[in-house]
Amino acid sequence: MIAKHTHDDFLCKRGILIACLTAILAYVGDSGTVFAQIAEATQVFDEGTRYLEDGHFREAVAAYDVAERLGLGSGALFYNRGVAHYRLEGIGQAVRYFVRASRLLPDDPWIQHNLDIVAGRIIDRFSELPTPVWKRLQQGLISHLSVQALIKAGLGLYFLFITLLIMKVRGSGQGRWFRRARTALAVIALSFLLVGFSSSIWPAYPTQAVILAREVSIHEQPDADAAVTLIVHEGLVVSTVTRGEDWVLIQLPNGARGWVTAEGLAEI
Amino acid sequence: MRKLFGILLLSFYPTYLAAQDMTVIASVNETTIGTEETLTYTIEIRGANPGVIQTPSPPRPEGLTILQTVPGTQRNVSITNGVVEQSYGFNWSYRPLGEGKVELGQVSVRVGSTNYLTESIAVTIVPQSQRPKRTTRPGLRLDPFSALFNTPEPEEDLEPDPGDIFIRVISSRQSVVQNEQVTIEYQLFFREGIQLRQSRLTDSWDAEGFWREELDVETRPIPQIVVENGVRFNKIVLKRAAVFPTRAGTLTVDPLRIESEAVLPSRSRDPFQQLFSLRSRFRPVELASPPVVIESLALPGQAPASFSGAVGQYRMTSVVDRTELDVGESLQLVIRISGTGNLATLDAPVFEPPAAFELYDPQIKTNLTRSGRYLSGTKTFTFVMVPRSNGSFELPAVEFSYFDPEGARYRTDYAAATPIRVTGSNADPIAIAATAAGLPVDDVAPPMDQAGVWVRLGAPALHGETWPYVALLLPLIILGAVFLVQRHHNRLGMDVTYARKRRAHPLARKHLKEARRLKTIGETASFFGEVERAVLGFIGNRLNISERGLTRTQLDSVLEAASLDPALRLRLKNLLDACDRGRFAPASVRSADLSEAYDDAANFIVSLNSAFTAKA
Repeated sequence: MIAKHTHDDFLCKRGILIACLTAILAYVGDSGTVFAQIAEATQVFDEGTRYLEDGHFREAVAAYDVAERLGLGSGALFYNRGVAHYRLEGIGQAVRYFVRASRLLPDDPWIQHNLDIVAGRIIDRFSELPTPVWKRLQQGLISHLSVQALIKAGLGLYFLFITLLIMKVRGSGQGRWFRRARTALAVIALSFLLVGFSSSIWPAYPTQAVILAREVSIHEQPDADAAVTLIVHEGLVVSTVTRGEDWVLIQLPNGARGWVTAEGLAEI
Repeated sequence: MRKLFGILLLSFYPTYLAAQDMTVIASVNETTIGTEETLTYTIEIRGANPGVIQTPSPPRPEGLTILQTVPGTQRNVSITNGVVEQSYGFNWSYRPLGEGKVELGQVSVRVGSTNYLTESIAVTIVPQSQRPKRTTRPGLRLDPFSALFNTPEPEEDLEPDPGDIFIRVISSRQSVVQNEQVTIEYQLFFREGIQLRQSRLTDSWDAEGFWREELDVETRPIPQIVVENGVRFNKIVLKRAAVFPTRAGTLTVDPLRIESEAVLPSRSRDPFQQLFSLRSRFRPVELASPPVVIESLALPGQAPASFSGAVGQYRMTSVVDRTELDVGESLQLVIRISGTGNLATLDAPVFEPPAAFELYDPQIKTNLTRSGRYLSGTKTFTFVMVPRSNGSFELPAVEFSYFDPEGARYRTDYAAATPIRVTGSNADPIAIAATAAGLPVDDVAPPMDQAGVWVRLGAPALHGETWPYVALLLPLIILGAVFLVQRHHNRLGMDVTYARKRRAHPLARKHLKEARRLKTIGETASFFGEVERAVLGFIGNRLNISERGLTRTQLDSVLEAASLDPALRLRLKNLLDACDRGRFAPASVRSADLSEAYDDAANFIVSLNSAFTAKA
């Protein structure tokens, strides 16, 4: 009887170990390549920050651009790039990167301060439609765990759950704690996977863009001759509903919609 | 503004101005009278201490006959702002002799040892029918005493003439250059004895095409007594404004309009009636000044490069708060432009420090003096700059150009260049003002120096990739396989029939394999023994019976009970017979017989398995 228990424990530990290793491997993925890219991006970031502190704002933007072309970004990178654009009087680009930074570091006081400063230089003022509660919850969760992390963590826990199930099928892991662990793992893994996949399909933040041109006319139809309903100015953040080759259907913060030319705005 | 203006005019009762120099003025009660009316001629001497005044002789014009040679006299003493002023009045009454124009000539008045000469006054005498009639309202008896003694005296209802109350507008210039100052003053004139109340502006005063600045006027104005064409008026300044034409062309300043209630002095001799009917005799009046037309001329060409539209008389000074500082410290250049003109719209002079200096937007402070007749003041531009590197620099000279309308030419003021020495190497910027969190008030926060957590950008959405679904399905497949294997193992251990059935083929293959080996080494008897065990063992396992000890007849019965085809049973019988021959008489067996028996056994097992499977 004692030998049987010992064997079960061994099987259990082995299963958990395998599941954890699987989860870790799922996280790190192509870790070798990523480590090299991160090292290079960090180096470029430091270089750009030196330029920024020395007042060479265009060089700073160029350096930060290199880091982005590596396919990597960080809250600090976006924040510093926003500062550089602000110094270059590029209010639209400054808004764009401060908003990006705020999505990665939502509680950072410096980013909120800078958003307030650039907001003071935006001409347009619109009332904003309320964000549904569930959307705010989703945004809060996503700000702490990315969609990828959620899905990968969910998969890791799912593997662990399956491992415990296999142990049960094989006759080990029949105790009360195993049963509780299986239930907890199933619930947590399912939650993570549901939130992860739903956030992947329906992102927490709508596809947003910022007006970069000094003035942009909003047309009723995607036609330069169509009636102009409104003129908006640089720095205004809008949602993009449909993006065509030359025209983009945007939604203003107050819910009004209209078409603008694609070159007048940039996605956040 | 309207409310304030109304309150101010509530107290427009005639009083005397503060004493200044001795003044002697002559006036009449009307400059136009009817043939049946009486003209009153008054000489008034005012001053702080007039001294001995000789009674002047009245003028004796043709067309008027004096009613009494001894003048009526009045004496008044007033104290205004602590200054005592005395006034002496001499008045005579005249009656016209006929229609026409009459001139009351100059009168010499000796006050102390000085002779003063009054102005002559022209009076027009018209037929009485041309004089406005005084309307009466019969039935109104506000005089309690007249009602008491049944001597009703109808109350006068006097309408003020346009000449009794009017607004005069005085413009300092009629033709100016663009952005040159014009002072417009609105003066309210009302005849002595007229009382005004509840005065207010009727609409907003507009001056399209002008930049406007209000100039100060008395908040509690004291009417000034003036004589206009021989008639005494009270005058107060309603409004004074400096206007600056913003474009060239003929521009018009709208009239100033006010509404008020006025009452003319009663002609009733009954003091009670004057007292008690005062309220009912106020009549609404609307007054408007004439519009002001100003010709705005374009500025002459060939303006200096530093000219940005300033017109007036200015003077520029500049000062830096220090000439030696460390890198990162702030330096202030204060430029002051003082003078007369439109300071509100004055642009900051162009100032470009050396590239090593970070220049912030200037702080602008404007102090305007509105108390005079022209707008003047000082505008201060404070440029804050921070050197980012050390060395010796020179702040460039600052130029400020303006057009002087008096001299009709452009003038340029210069602030001299200033040498600056920057020491040190600390390049940290300083915050001019900071929030409680230490962040600059009007600027973005400084850069972050740590990259923080990196995230992959532009990664495709996971729901569009394959691997997450594989990762979800693969463990399920593994779980299913484990489940099936485990169940198989469990059944093998618990279900003998199942176990023997699952083992039938492998055992048969094992025996046939051994038979083939024995055939190779020439062990004929053993070969046939193995073939027989392969066949009988297969049958025993598939039917879950013990094949050992069964006679051929019993075996055939079992197979018949299992509904095996008779042809197969016959093949089995022949095969087992061949095995018996081989085991017990191996010498008679040929090599070909071994191969034939082996093939027969293998084929029979396959056929038998098919037959059992079909029946199952």
